[in-house]
Amino acid sequence: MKADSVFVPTGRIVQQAAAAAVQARKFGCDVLRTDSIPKELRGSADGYRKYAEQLNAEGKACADNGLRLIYHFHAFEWITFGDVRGIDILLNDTDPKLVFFQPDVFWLTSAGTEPSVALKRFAGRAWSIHVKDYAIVPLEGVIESVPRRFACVGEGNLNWPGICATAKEIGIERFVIEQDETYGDEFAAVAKSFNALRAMGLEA
Amino acid sequence: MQIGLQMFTMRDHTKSREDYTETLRRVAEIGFRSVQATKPAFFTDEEFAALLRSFGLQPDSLLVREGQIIGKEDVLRARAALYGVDAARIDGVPKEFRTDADGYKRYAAILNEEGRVCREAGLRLMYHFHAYEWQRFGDTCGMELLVRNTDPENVWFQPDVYWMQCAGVEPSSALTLFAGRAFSMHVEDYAIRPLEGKIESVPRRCVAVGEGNMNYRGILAAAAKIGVTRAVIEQEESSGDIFEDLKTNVRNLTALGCTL
Repeated sequence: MKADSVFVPTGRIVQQAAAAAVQARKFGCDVLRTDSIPKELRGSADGYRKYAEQLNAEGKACADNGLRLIYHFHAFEWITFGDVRGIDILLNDTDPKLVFFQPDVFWLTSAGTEPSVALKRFAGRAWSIHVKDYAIVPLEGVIESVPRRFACVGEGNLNWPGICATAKEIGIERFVIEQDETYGDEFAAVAKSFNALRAMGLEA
Repeated sequence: MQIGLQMFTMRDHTKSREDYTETLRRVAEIGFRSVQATKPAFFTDEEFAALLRSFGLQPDSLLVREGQIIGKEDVLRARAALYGVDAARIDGVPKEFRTDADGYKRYAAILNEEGRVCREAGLRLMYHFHAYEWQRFGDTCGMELLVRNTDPENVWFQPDVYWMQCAGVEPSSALTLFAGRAFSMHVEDYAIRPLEGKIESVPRRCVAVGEGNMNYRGILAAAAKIGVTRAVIEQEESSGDIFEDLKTNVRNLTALGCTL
């Protein structure tokens, strides 16, 4: 069993990249992952541009230490500022050789996109994606409610055939199960997702 | 693909006879010709039909509810003739049928009978769904159970791609479920507004088509492929000026190949 990456919060990477590289070597990996754009920068396109600069500096510190930096986004980065979205600024304003992304198909859906299409935007910028399913549960409120929750892969409504096809097309090498809530037995939940992905042709 | 307008979009401006009249005037001025409207209490059917006609607005369907269909064929025929419509719309799986696959099948049987009665009255009954019908039951879901357990001659569907998005489904591929079963769809877009809570929150808001994150190019192509000929705007939230939002919807839908 291997760890695929180490984690350092954004804002501390320049200072901690060297130490993180030591840790990564112990784990047998060369990836440093981080999240999320600081609160004070989230409110405007300028804030996102400043953060893209910060990510470039953090990406360089990682690269100088033999690490690849990946930013893991949620739904909130898909905020619109006129003609552009936060995530577009992060993608366009960061150096494709220094800053990579870890797309999450649940958050892509929650942001209003179709993951099998939106993933294409990350071609060349990602090799690993987060997976969990998006399920609708019994309605309790008004009919316009969206009663949703996290689910094991295959137990919700995400378009797994489409997601797998696009992932293959853009060179995604790893599907990482990350189920924020398992509603009970975490081991059983992870096993279900693992087996569902195997049934789709993926290998451990 | 014709652009239509569900008048629920304008609900803040249709609260009196005067407001409704003025709103219809402005809607017609923007260039709309097709509306999906529910007669408000302060107009009679005759007044409302005449009012719509006076602005060159053609209603696309009647709203029907449980209790207004079976045994009410004559009323349906009369209202259909008055408004010049050939479709009826219904929504809402009653709570007692939502519990499991069997419940959905039982409701499908009811919907099928209602659709048959509508058909005989000259109306194509379309079921309009929300997100909750996409609940999974084993390998299927509520929505699929309704489609597969109703007769294509009796029951149609009015896909709402915004609710499909909210249900976690990819509209541009999942619309194939409604192949041959839909001629009208609801459109609105899905955007993210500023985050206030935790980073895992989903600060969703409903916006004009083209102003959000949905794949409208793919969605409209898929809709045309399955036989949809009308994209009806139903914007649940206003950006501030709903009339400006209408113009934005029209501009963006026109750029995507739709016409008024």
